[in-house]
Amino acid sequence: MNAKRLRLFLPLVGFMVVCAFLYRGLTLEPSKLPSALVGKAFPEFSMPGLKEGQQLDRSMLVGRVALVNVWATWCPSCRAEHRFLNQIAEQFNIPIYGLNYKDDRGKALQWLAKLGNPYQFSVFDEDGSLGIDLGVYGAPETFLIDHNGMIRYKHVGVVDMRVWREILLPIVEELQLGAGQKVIQ
Amino acid sequence: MKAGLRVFILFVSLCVSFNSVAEIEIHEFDDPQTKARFLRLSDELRCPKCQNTNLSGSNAPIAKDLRTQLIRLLKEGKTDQQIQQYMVDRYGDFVLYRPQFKKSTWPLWFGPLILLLLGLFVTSRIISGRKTVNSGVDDDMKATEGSALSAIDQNRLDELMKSKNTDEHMTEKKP
Repeated sequence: MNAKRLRLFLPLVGFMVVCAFLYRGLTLEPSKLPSALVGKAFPEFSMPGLKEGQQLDRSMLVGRVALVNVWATWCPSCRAEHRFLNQIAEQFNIPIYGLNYKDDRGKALQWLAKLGNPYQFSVFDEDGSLGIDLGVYGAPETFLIDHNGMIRYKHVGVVDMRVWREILLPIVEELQLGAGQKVIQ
Repeated sequence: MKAGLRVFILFVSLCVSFNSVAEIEIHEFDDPQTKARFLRLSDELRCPKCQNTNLSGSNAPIAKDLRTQLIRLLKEGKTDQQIQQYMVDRYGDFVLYRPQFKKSTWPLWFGPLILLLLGLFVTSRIISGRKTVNSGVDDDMKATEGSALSAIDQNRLDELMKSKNTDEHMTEKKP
């Protein structure tokens, strides 16, 4: 085949390139942004806890591989996630800390009383300022931090069995091994 | 007539809408420069929640919070660059409508230019190719002289022309 004949295939090649981009686009989720904080230290803070009279700061989160879960009573998917968080807290050897994000204290306490409390404690971020430092743009979001307080992963959206088994758990196990902690389960 | 007037008034009042529902935020600025900077920055920063709206145009709670942060940073005397970095540190490059100039954003900056040059190159190739074909067709002398026809085709053409000529002679003789 000569060069002229081959050139007839150029439109087909172009079409296939466009198709490849479009096909890739099918599985992209533009609403899930990569976190700018992965690999950085969990930000410093000093804030009241959800429980009256509690005062919390960064040092209380640091020391073990842990999950920090951003939640709020106004967030419907948090309710869906809550049951699973209870399950993790019960079955796995990993502390979960809550960040109650732009919420009403009374409602939040009621919610925990009714649905169970998977959190060691919840930071009460009423004006969302710690949320901004964490790059939170919605709830639920879940951060995975290592024993040095470095953010190692951020999951936007509901943590369910699939997310836990396929994404979070492998990282947790690796981090716990690295930290010389007893591996969960 | 009266009914017509009523319909007209109804029509006009439907055309005019009032955004009375929209929340109005009032920000106080010490000087017009800071206000201008606020307006520009909130136009250039993207709301992380809403994909394709800037901070100034979004009603999302997070956009409101970030506007508040923006004002706080402006009042603290931070430069535009520091403010942008503050946002990027938390929300990533996504928040900048005008991406920073760095290795990972080179395709964004140079991609369009490269595509434009490629397009110009292809177009010029096509146009120049077309010109040579056209000049061959335009010039009759050249077309017969040139290699537009293969030798076999040329022979066939000559034969056809010959037989046509004889046909014409015959028809001329007939009457």
